[in-house]
Parts: sequence; C-alpha cells; structure tokens
Amino acid sequence: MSTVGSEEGTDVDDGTATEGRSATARDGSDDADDREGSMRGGVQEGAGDGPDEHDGDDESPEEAERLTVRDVLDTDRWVGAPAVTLLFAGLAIVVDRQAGLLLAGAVGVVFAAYAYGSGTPAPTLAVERRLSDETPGPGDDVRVTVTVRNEGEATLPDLRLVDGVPPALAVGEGSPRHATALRPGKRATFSYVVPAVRGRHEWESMQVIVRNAPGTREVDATVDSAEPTTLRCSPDLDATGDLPLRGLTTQYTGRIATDVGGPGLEFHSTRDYRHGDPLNRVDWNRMARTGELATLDFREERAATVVLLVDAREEAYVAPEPGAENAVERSVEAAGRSFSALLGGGDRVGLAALGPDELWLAPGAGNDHRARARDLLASHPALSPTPPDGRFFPSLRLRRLRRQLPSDAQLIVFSPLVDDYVASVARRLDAYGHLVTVVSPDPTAGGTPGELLARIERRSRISRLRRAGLRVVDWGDEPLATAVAGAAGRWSG
Amino acid sequence: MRVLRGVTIAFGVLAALAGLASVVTNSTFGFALDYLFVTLVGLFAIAQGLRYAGARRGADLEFTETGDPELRYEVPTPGGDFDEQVANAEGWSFRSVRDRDAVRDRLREATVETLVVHRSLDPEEATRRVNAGEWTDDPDAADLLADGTVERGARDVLRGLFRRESRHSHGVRRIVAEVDAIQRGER
Repeated sequence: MSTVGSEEGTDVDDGTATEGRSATARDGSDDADDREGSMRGGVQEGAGDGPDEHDGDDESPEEAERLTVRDVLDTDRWVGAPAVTLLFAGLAIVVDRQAGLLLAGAVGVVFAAYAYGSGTPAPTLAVERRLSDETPGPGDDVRVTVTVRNEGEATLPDLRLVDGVPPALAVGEGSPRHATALRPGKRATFSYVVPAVRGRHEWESMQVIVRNAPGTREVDATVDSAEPTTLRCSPDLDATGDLPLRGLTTQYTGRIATDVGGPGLEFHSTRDYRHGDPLNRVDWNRMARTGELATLDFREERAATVVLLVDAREEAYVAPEPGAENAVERSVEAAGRSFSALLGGGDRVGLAALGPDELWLAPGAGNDHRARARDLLASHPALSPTPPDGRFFPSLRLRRLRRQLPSDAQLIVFSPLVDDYVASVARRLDAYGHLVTVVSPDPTAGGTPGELLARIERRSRISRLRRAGLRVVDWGDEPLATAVAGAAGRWSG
Repeated sequence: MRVLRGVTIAFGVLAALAGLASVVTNSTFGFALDYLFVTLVGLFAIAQGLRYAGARRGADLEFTETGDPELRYEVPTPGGDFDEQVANAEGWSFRSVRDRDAVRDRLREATVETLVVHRSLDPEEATRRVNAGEWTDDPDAADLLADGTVERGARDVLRGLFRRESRHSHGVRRIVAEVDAIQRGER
C-alpha cells in the first residue's frame, strides 16, 4: 500500500473530495487526535484506489484471512424499543380512542424493526503499519502510521481500532485508538508516536470492534498487518566510569594493576640494572647521585577476563513505580556500558544471563565482538524488556554457567537482589574462585509496609554480600558512574 | 422459571395466531368487542409497555473491553506480595491464620538479621530480645513478634481503642518502620 498523504488531510487518490471523518471513540481518543492537529487529526478517508494506482498495494484475499473474529455481542442498546409502540397504542385505546396516538405508536414499530432487522457486520480489513525509523536509538521518537482499508463489499458504519502497541513501549504523542466509518474500498489513516526503548519490539494484532448501524450487534476481532512490524532498538555502548576490578587474570596488557613489577604507570620498586633494560626505565637520578645504574619497576597492568552476568529471571522484573524502567532494563543498560568500558580498557569481556532463555557470549575482544554484544543486548530474548514466559531451572543454569566460565574469569553480576537466589549464586561463584562484583539497581519503593520491608531485606542481602567479601554497587537513581565511584571509595582492594 | 417462560411464549403464540385468524375469518370467536374488552386490551398494552421500559432501565449495555496499549507493561513493585498477605491476614479463616504466621515469620527474620548486623548481637541474643519484646521501645512493634504479651501503658491502650487500623496491620507497620530506622542508624 502506498503512503497515503492523508496526514495532511488531503485526498490523494482520485480527487474525490471526501471529508475526513472521525467518529467518537468510547475512550475519547479522538480528543488526543485533535490535539495532534492536522498531522494526525482524526481519520482521513481516502477514495478507493485501484491496484494500478496503488504502488505495492496487495489486495489479495490473504489479507482478509488475517482477520480473526473473537466474539459477537448483542449490545442491548435497543432493549425497550417496543415499549414506545405498546405505550402509545395502549394510551390511544384507553384515553378515548385517540387515532393520533395510535399512529405515533407506529414510530416505535419502525424503530424496533430498524434495531432488530439489522444483521451482524462482516468486516474485511487490510492493515498496513509504517514506522518512521525501524532501528532507532534509545529514547528516539518513532512515528507509527497505520492505514486501515475496508476490503469488503459492505459499509462499516461504526469501526473502532485499537492498535497492538508492543507491551514494552509507551505511547508518547497521539493515540493508538481510532474510530471511524468506512465505505467499501475506503481507507483511514492515523498515527501516533512511541519513544524507543532497548529491545526488539514486534507489534501485536490490531483489535477491531465493528458495530452495525443501529449498534445492536458488535463484532470483536483482531487483524494482522500484511507484513510484521518490528522495531529494533540497540543500546549505546558508551563507556562509563571505570569499574575497579579485582585481581588479575590474563597476561595481556590491560587495566588491572598488579603487584608484579614491570612496565606500567604506577611506581612499584627499583632494582639493579640488567642488560637489556630499556633506557626510559633507568633511574637517572640515582645514577647522578651514586653513579650506579638502577632500573625503575612499575606496577604491571594486565587485562582481565570478565563475564557480565545479568539477572533476567521473572523475579528481577520489578520497578519502584508503574511505568518506570524495570530492574532488568537498568541491568542491561549497565551491562552495556560496562562492556564498552572494559573492552576499551583492553579486557576480554563476555556476556551471560540468568533466566529461562540461555544467553552466553564467551569473553573476547575486538570490534566484531563489540558488535556481537551490542546485537545480543538489543534483541536477545533473554534480555527482553518484558518478563520471560519460559520456566527457569536454577540448578541447571548455574551448572551450565560454571562449565562455560573460564576458570580465571571475573564476574560482574547485575541484579536487583530482590530475593536470595542471586545473592547465593554470587557467593557460590566467589567461592569457586571467580572474583565477583555485584551491581544492583535499586527497584524498591518505601510507600507501603511491604515496599519498605522489601527495601530492608534488600539492604540486608547487600550487607551479607559485603560481609562475605564481595563488592556491591548499590545503584539508586544516580548515574551508574557516580554509583560505581561512590562504591569504589569503600573498597579496599 | 423455565416453565413459566414456556407458558408465556405459548400464550403469546396462541394469541398472535388467534388475532391473525380473527382478521382472516372476520370473526371475533364469541368475544364481544365492547368498550370493556377494548379497554382491557389497551391496559394490557400499557402494562407490557411499562414492562419493556422497565427492562430498558435495568439493562446493562454490553460492549467489548479494550486493553491499554498506550501504557507500558507494568511490572510489580517489590513488597506488593507482603502487603497482600497483610491484607489477607485479618480474620480467623485457615488462610488468614496461615498468612498471619507467614507475615510474622518474615518480619521476625528481617528484624533478627538487622539486630545482628546493626546492633552487633549474636543471632541467639537477637532472637531472645525479639521474643521477649525487648528489641524496641515501641510496644506496638514489640508485641506482634513477642512470645508473650508486652505491657502497655494506659495511654497506648486508649490510643489503640480509637485506632481505625487493625491491631495486626498497625503492628506490622510499626515493626517495619522501627527496623528501617535501625538500619538507617536512627535508633
């Protein structure tokens, strides 16, 4: 279907001056449309255009099959219509045989015939949905333009549309609801704006509610667009403040300061000059004072192998208030930033998730690795912005994770710590010799006794982990870099 | 009810057929179409009309519910399950008693752990103080977790009588507030 210029309120088809029509939706969504102005002001009904006038317009019968009827209702809107006839006729007889009143009763007969004589509407609709940008960055506004066309032979006098916005997206401007009437071959276009959030978001079926002219019968159906509509939003892998990591693992030059003397930046010790030592490490001051050659040693910096482990169990999908970013979204955001920071520092970084869907990216380095991680963070089902459906087997997942983890890998675990499971996993992995740091986005609120108790219990878990020697970054509303810097201040090593 | 409905329908069908036959055969079947008969028919029509009008007044309009696609998927807030448990813990049904025990156990665990960490008590001593109601000065908080009854002043008893909140809910709220204050170093 071609892009219809109806957003400007113009008729682009055969020049027939069809007036845009906007029926009143039950939820008053047209008010929102009106506020949008001419860009999305209600529905514009374009004249029916033939296939030759409509580039790429697929009008095959397959589109009609995309509509699924879920329910047919009697609305009971005309219950009581016979009362008009009966009351007028009765009064006409009783009150001195008034012929005029008896005639008035006939009006009721007409109403009743109109109400009960209309059949059930049989909608045949084709839906096309267009996104202004299918691969936006986080926070970018994406305009969704929906065009619905009546492919059937009958007029749809009362058509209400509710678009299937993906659950993780909120509508920013406009409304995904629309109400209109469509003659055969006509179409209606409306649009709304969604701010993009990380993840792969697929639009669900559009809900269609059609009533007959008197409104006595209502059909509840869903209709799918010819092509699936998918928005893919990848996270920015911006580096954040350094995450001080514990110990060292691999021999490559990197960011972990060790207690081993050698090349580096931070002074470690001096020793006797040995043949072959580089001239820039000779202690010339000492040479000037004593005439002896000595060599300066610095703390060697080596690269770490780090695996970022995101708690993506159903329990981790919690937020301090409705509509706020949930803890898994915050964890993935933090993991993305940490990934970039660590990779930039020369470390080898991997990615894993604790959840029903398995995610494992072995530690690695380089631009290809970064691109792969970005791809996984954006669209892997394990890190979906909405809770998973599958069942999580904690023991099995932990066993598999242990087999996958390189023996020298450090772990940064991202979890809201709202239950004891991840805290126990962190302690077990620490006990197995992996150095563990926990970054915990705080999802608690303090409004009700239950919320306050959840906060108390989370504080206790953090306290327990710290007593066990693990590093924990308690990440509230502040930027991650600030939280890491604050936590690093209390870490000794 | 079903029998009455069947009788009513049968009567209606018979009446309609009789009326039709009356028109076709131009006969009244022995009924005299006098003033009284016609008035009775009129009154019957009014009665039926009022019945229909009454049905309209009491009728619930049917319509399809739609979701809220404008809003994001909402995830729970930690602690919502506990609030629900506290709300269900009122009364003496089996479920209420079970929920009350669960609430008490969870509060006790959080309190003991807090005392161990923030008051530097060993777990046994912390448990003893909680059981004895000695861990806080607030009698409402202490009473819910104590094994026995905690003594209250006349003022507290009087205040409790005029409180709209149940004793259990009030105790829960006081315990949570007290433990939070201890963790934040305000007690």
